[in-house]
Amino acid sequence: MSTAIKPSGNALGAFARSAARSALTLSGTVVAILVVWTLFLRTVNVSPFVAKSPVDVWSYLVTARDAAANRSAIWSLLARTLADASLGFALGLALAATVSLLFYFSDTIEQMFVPTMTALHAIPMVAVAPILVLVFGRGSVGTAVIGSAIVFVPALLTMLQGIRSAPKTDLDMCRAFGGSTWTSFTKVALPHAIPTWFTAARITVTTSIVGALLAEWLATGAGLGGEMLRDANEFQFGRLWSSVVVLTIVCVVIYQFVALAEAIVRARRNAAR
Amino acid sequence: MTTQFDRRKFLVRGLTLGGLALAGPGALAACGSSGSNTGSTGFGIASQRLAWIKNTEFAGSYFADKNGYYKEAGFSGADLVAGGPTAPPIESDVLTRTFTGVSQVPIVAAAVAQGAPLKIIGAVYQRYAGCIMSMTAKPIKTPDDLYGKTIGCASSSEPVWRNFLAALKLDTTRIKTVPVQGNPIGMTKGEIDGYLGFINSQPIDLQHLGFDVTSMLLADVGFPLVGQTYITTQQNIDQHRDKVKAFLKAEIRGWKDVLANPQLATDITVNDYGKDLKLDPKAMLDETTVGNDLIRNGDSKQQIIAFSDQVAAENIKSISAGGLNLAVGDLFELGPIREVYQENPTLAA
Repeated sequence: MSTAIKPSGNALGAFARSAARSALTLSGTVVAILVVWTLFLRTVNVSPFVAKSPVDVWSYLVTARDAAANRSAIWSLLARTLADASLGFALGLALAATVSLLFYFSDTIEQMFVPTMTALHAIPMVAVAPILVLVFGRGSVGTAVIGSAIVFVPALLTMLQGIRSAPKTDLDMCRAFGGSTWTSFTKVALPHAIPTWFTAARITVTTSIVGALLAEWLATGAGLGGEMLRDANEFQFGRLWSSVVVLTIVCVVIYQFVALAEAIVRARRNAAR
Repeated sequence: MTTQFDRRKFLVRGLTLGGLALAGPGALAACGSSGSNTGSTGFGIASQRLAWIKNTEFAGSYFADKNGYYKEAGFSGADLVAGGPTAPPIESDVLTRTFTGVSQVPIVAAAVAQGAPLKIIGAVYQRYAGCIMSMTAKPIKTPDDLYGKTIGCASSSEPVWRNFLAALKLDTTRIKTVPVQGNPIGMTKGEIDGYLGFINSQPIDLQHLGFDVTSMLLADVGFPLVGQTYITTQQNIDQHRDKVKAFLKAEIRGWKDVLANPQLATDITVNDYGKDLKLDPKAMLDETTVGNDLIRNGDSKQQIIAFSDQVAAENIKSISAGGLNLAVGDLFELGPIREVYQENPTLAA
């Protein structure tokens, strides 16, 4: 009797456990950030006109007279930043998935390009951005390229690990039964690779928001990224700190959602086996 | 657990990238002190937060240190704290750790409007150095030329730029502003038509790279603003007025040396105070010379660093267009510099 319900119970349990864990880590993160933040302000010698406390941010976003206006201004900027992030995220993951599959078929190409790509990743975006802007412009394309440049390498390395993790015995069996390289790719390697695409998504989803901020700082001046730089130069530190807090919370939430998606995919895959 | 690890990695990387993004050409800006002796004569160390890296824009302070003007004014030495793209806000440093600082009128005004107890006590440049530079082949010579153009602007200059557009009542829908942090080399490729730079900096750098550039000084086209303003706290003015005056006196003497000998001013910048920056001596000499033109107002009896109440009122008018409504007395405290000249008539040029 237990055998019949076990798989679905497992998946459901995994889902519930994962959701509970997400909620727990979320609140843990918030507490940790508040503690570190407060301690930081107490140890550094920065003017309270510049260094805002959690109370200041709460006031700016919730209790101040203009709080509603402040919030709606940040929301609309945040919407733009998330749209920018999704461009870089989608392009970066798509490129990484394509390239990781190409590398599956040729070790030579992989050995030729992986070190170069990893090295390129180490070049700060500030140095490369003017060139990317020259080539791709300051519109959606430029934003997507700058964002994907940040997302691509960590996503690729994770995906490569996944496609290489296909059990050798399975591949051997496929070959022993007369399967071609293509068959062993579609039947064995690809099913092993796809869950790591979700891992790559989890690892890079917050990176893609950093990429969007970079694009906004360096190319478009739009969104929360553009506004944060202006805030720093116009002495709007209440808005700046509030933006950082909102971004941090949004990053944590999005991360937890993607982590949940990944957990579900892995649970289903494990259940299938 | 892996989720924790990844989040931490993200935070670290996010902070690193954030730092890098802010780090323009002067990431190597060396903070540090120079010639700070331990002797304790009266006013202690003259600590000053500079607006930027240690280029010739602060040569007057280098002379004041090197030629002992701070010490003769009663200080035990000087601490010139370099700024740069990664440095904390100047106003923050002046509020917490340095005696004075060098900043720009719109930014100080924004801080004062937020309640920061700061005052402008003098200005090196009679005319703000901000300019729109463009390629001479496609020049921007008047504000009307800005229409239909794409202008690059570092975020540190955006308050000034938006103020300028508002003060001249320019139609912002017809001028495209894009962020260009640091290097404006995209202008030479036609990616942008103009760049808001400083007349004693980027235009000269590009000229020394062989490009033919045209500059339009914002102060010359209906945007009167003083530049390189000295700021200090209201508390210093109220409780340490003599120290404020001693500082201003030393600065005046230093800047008189820069006016008298731009070559020497360049040499001490390139070879001594800004040594780590590996500055180009020829470009720096040009920058000092152009800077000197901004210091002078054409008056043979000019009291440098000081300016009239009328000029202060014009500055207030310039920034009020951008939405900063302050009175002259909210932003400026010109009493100490006036007293310095009254007590030392020979200081006037």
